[in-house]
Amino acid sequence: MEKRGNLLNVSDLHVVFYTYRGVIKALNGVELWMDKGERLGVVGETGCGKSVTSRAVMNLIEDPGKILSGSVLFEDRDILKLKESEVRKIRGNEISMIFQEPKSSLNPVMNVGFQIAEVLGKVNNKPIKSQYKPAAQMLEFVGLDSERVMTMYPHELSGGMAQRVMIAMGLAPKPKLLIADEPTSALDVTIQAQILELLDDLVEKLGNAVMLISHDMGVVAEFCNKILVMYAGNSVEYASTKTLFKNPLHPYTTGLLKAVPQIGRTDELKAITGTVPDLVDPPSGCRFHKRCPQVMDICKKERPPFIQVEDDHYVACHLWNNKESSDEQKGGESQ
Amino acid sequence: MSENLLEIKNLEKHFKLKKSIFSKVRVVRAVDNVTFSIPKNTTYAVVGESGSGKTTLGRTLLKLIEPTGGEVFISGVNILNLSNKEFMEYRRKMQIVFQDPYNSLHPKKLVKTIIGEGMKIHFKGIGEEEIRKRIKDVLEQVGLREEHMFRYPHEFSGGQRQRIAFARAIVLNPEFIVLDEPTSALDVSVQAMVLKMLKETKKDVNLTYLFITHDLSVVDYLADYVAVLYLGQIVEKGKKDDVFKKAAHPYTELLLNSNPIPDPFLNRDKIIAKGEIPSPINPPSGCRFHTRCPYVQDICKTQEPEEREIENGHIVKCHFPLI
Repeated sequence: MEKRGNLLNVSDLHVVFYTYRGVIKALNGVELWMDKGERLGVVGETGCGKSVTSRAVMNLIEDPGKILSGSVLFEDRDILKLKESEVRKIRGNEISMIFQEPKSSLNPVMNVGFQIAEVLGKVNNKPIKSQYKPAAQMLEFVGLDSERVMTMYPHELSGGMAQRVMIAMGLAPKPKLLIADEPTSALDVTIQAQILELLDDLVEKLGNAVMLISHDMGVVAEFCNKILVMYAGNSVEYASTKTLFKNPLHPYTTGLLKAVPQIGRTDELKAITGTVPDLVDPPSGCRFHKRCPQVMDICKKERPPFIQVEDDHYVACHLWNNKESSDEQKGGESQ
Repeated sequence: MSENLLEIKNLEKHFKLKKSIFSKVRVVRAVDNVTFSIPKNTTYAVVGESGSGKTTLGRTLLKLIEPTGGEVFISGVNILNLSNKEFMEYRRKMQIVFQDPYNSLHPKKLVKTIIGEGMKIHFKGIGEEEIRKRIKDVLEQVGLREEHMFRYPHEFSGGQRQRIAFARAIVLNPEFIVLDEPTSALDVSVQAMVLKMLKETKKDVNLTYLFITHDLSVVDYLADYVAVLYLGQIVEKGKKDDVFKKAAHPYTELLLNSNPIPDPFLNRDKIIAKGEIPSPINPPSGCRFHTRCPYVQDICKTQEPEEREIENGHIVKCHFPLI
């Protein structure tokens, strides 16, 4: 298999969930790759598989979910093939994660100091008691007053403070990859700006890679240098942030960009017609074909491969599949 | 300027907290001395962070929560002085759409019942046939189809449910609708459709909206006027273009600047706020924003700023307005 990134390579990942309604085909051949120190934004709407992807990367899919096939190469180890004990050495160590709801991810009956010291104890293989000092340093590192916060319990923290604590815990093991799953979606804009600024600073200092999962185009545009757009369990487009905004190729990406209201925007919003498909019974062929304004016959039958169209710009769309034949008929449609 | 449909004067809602043995009675000033008026057929947006009192404001002026002070005039009548019987007519004229379409529709009732129920109360003696016809009309108006009236809420997606909630509001021929974060539970592609529907319906049936939201980009799309709320008080209000292009209050500037912009080619300096929104139980003295304001001076800590008019209805409550 070709390696497209030197840190993480996810290829052809299929994940299903067995429910009473039927089998939910949550991920349908997701492709994703990252280089060291890179910031990848994963965007898409509810149910497109962003969070499932991030959990599959850490092999954290639990019953009733199952990873059917695919590989997750972290550096040169396939996480899906490792023994659980070996994955544990990577998880929370080389890859760590912060979640959307910081308060429900913290232990409500332990104070903040203990929780961070516990993480550090595990990482450094030392007794928890000896780790309070480094824990306090970690809190200072994320801009909290360690003397006060160390002895506080999660219910005493505001949303922004709790997210800072989560970031401290996430960065404590000095991971190579930090997965941030909607880290600011539950926060107010002014607090969101603070947290993103903080994350930006720290990542700059530590040099780790970040996978930022978000539904907010604005957040990824400001934070990430690469973007992966997902739709209904598929990777549909991957490019550098600037390329993606300047020259989006997939009709879904184009539609998404036109649907986002923006201050100072004068053109009328364009909605994407229809709704996100039910993944128990996903549409045949390209999963976007029922909502696509440029749908062709082939889209209903065949799933488009995820192919490279230009340097560092990948798309899964039949419009770009047979480049030679479709070039004439498309003309300038890409804009 | 056209006439005002709604005038809100010094509206106040204070919640008393339970007294503990050790402390005095504590009061949450959720809405504190709020004054503004909404011209007919316009959209007035109220923006603010969580805890700023925007939802309480919306509910108080509909009398869903009894205010503790102030006046609300609709077409010149103070609705807070009316008896319940007299108020009925105004209840019909003023409707609300709630934030969460998953909780605001009765799960065991058909869409027909959900939408039609209000008509049976407000239009006495209306026939089944007419109700049916009216429901069909409003469903089409909000972009759904006739057959949808025989379904249950769980059969619909979030965007469709919000359309049903909106249909329930407009079926009573209201003049005024409070939209309390109607799109914040929706995905962007769906949000765009609902926003367009709201804009078009407003034009079609001459509605006036109070639009409550935390999302400034949505305000820019929909609103004509905007008021910025901070800890229960309006810190800046005026025409949307004035407020957005010539923000005079440091808090408005901060909100506008914090809003992430989906444009990687834009280089701008971010203003990062100090701290977080304080508790409304013991709001800071003087100007309530002084604890987070980047331009704070001594006077801000002790003296509450007066409202001052910058130009033509653009009002700011700050000692040192930015323009």
